[in-house]
Amino acid sequence: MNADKVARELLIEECKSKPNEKLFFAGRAFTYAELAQALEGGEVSAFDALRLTYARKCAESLVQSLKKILER
Amino acid sequence: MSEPKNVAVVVAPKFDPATEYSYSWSRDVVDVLRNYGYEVVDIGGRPVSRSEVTDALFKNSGALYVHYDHGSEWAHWGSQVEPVVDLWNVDLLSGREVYCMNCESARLLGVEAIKRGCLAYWGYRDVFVFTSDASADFKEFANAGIKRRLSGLSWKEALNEVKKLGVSLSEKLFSEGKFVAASAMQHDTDVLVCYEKGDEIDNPKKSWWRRLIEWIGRLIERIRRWIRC
Repeated sequence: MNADKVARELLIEECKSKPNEKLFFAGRAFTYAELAQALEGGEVSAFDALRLTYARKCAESLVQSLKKILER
Repeated sequence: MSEPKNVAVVVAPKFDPATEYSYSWSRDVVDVLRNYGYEVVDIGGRPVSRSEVTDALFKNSGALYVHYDHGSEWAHWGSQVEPVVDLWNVDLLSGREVYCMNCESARLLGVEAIKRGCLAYWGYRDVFVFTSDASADFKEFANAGIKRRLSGLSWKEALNEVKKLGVSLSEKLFSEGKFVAASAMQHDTDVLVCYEKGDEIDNPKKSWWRRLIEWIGRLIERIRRWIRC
């Protein structure tokens, strides 16, 4: 299983288990529930376009950083 | 005759959920500075205006400057609408050391500050990311550099130690199953930098119109300061 997939699944699982925790990225607060949706790559109707862009950028950044830890 | 006291200007505005955290973390820094005998000019806990900060920096030439709040590539923010330090008044950072817990300001503002005589600039080249389930760990990481510097390490030694701390914290968070926090901590560690006067820095190329706008901005800032004197 590749590291990208493992990292993404670990993050999604954690986010779904703690939906009300928050992450602060580029001055914006995202709940873990919102992050899970961004990580899964789906559309989120509650997001405006800019917020969705930041959520996806955040999600990809988290995946890359977790991959780095996994590969250590 | 008593020795002149070291002075630190600490700017830590509070005006949204993220700055609730940064302001809270800055209280530890203020305490540590006072314990090391610094006179602290403490501006924060509310939205902060540009004039408050520029006045404080102007009146305290050479003082350490600490900023805990939102940042951009080109600015430190004091509120949702007004930057307090940016490419227009960056020469206020000349001759002093700067310690930032803000997003991205090391990418452009920090580079420009060093070019214009800033002695050291500690900051992040990308966004600073943190999570609510590991606030204590992010506080420890954010404050570690200034504590190590005050204890006597050089800036480069402090940077080296804090990068190791960041890796160690990311692994601790990973082992606790806090994968989001671990990733965020790893990211913050990777984008942390400290520039010092004389360093060769990757200087992003600027277009001619951008350089013109910055020149005009600095001129306006000088005129503004002259009018206020």
